[in-house]
Amino acid sequence: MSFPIAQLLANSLIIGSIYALVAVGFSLIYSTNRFVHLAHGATVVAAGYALYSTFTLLHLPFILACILTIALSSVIGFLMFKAIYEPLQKRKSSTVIMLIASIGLLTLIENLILLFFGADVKTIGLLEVRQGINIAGAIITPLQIVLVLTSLTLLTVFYLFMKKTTLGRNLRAVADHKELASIMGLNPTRLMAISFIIGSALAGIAGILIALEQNLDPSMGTDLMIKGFSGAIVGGIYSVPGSILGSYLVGTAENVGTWFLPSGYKNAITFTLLFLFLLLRPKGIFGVDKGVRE
Amino acid sequence: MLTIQNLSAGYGELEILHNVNVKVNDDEIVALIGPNGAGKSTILKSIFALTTITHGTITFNAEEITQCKTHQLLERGISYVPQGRINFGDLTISENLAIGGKDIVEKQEYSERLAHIFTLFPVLKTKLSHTAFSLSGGEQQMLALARALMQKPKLLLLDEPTLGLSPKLQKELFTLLQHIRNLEHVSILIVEQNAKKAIESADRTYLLENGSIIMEGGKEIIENPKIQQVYLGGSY
Repeated sequence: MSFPIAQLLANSLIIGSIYALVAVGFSLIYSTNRFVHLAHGATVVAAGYALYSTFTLLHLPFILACILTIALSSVIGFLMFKAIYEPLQKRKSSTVIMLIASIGLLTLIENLILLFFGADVKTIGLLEVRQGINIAGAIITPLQIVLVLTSLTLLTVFYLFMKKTTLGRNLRAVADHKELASIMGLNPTRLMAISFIIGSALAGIAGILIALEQNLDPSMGTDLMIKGFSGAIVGGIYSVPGSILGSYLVGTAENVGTWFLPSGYKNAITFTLLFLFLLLRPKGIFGVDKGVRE
Repeated sequence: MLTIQNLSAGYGELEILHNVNVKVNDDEIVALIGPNGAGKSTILKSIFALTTITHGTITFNAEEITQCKTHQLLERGISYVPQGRINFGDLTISENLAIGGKDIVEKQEYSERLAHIFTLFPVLKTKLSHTAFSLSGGEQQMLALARALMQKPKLLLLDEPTLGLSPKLQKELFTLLQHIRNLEHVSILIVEQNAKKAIESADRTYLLENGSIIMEGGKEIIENPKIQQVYLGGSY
């Protein structure tokens, strides 16, 4: 069989769109708070199960189920910040302590989902499986087209929000220089909490999209977090376009790589890309060397 | 305008300042000089609620501000330009200035303030969309000053604004500060390493050593033997 370049690119675009939503939320939280919030992956899975509960089990209208899911994701993110991270930051905990706390939260939430929903996979069943459409030699389902378009629209809106609005500017100011932001009368703690609310809402949307596209299982958060994290590092963790591009690169590397290698090597391919960047260009594709004048 | 009385302050358990008294009058430039570690910056930080104050009071326009939070100090008209990384490097010049003027609600008033700032710092107007970290050292100082002035302060606290600048730029900066004081009617409390320059440019100067003020006076203290011997002899 010849190398199916169009299909591989389409698959990369689909999975990259989900990774990108995870990555931009993660990088927003990382840049304002300066610690690795691995439990971000748990928010994505919690959102998937929230959609399953509200739509599939409670039969709420789909739009209402989505709104509730996104709201719940923001609440989870906000509560994690208020109950765990903020008290730790007040005690001047090191980034290692914060990382351990985030791993603890990830494990806790994944296991709570396991406790309530069981280990068997869940499906949302919004649409019946339909035959895909052939676009330039690639077979794509209508749902996948909606998924990619939704993600690209949201990523554009998020980019414009960060660049053009006062709140976005203030979030970038805190990410850039927290002490100076405080001196200028901004409230860094409030803005850090807001970054959790917005970043987790993006995770919630990613959770909805992945729940529509794939089966849900309680441990999928760790895997998604690794991909989103890798995408953010590869592209440049402080840059929204960088995180998006990095995520699509991770998606492409995975899809193209598993054409040549067994699919069990998927994570190994992501890690190889991550390590290559950490070794050769740790600031990522969009990272900038800044001369700091002290 | 500003009166610091019997101030003892530091960081946590570590007391840096011991019983310090400093006064800044209306439209006055006051310099704080002394060796490294004397506590000059700690005085500015104490005014701006960034230290642990163990004793003493700080009053501003007859109101005690010792316990005030940062935003309350800004509301009262005190702005602070710290030392080191003084700008939001990833943000554009326009955005840096907007953060300075974030409390100006009226669009018209904001534009007027911005136009006025550009008359003081014309170089900034030509680079509005540039990120702050791309600016030269002198331009970075200009931007930090401009951002603070956007807040329409009555008192400006400047922590070593000449650090890293060439002697020519240092001279220009002091001339500019005097011009700003006259034009804006703003008082300036400035920490400065270059003792000679500070004494010459300021209306009054305080000399600190080991967290205590050991000398104060006008331009005449440049003749003081201790200043001559220690601070102008190249030891610091």
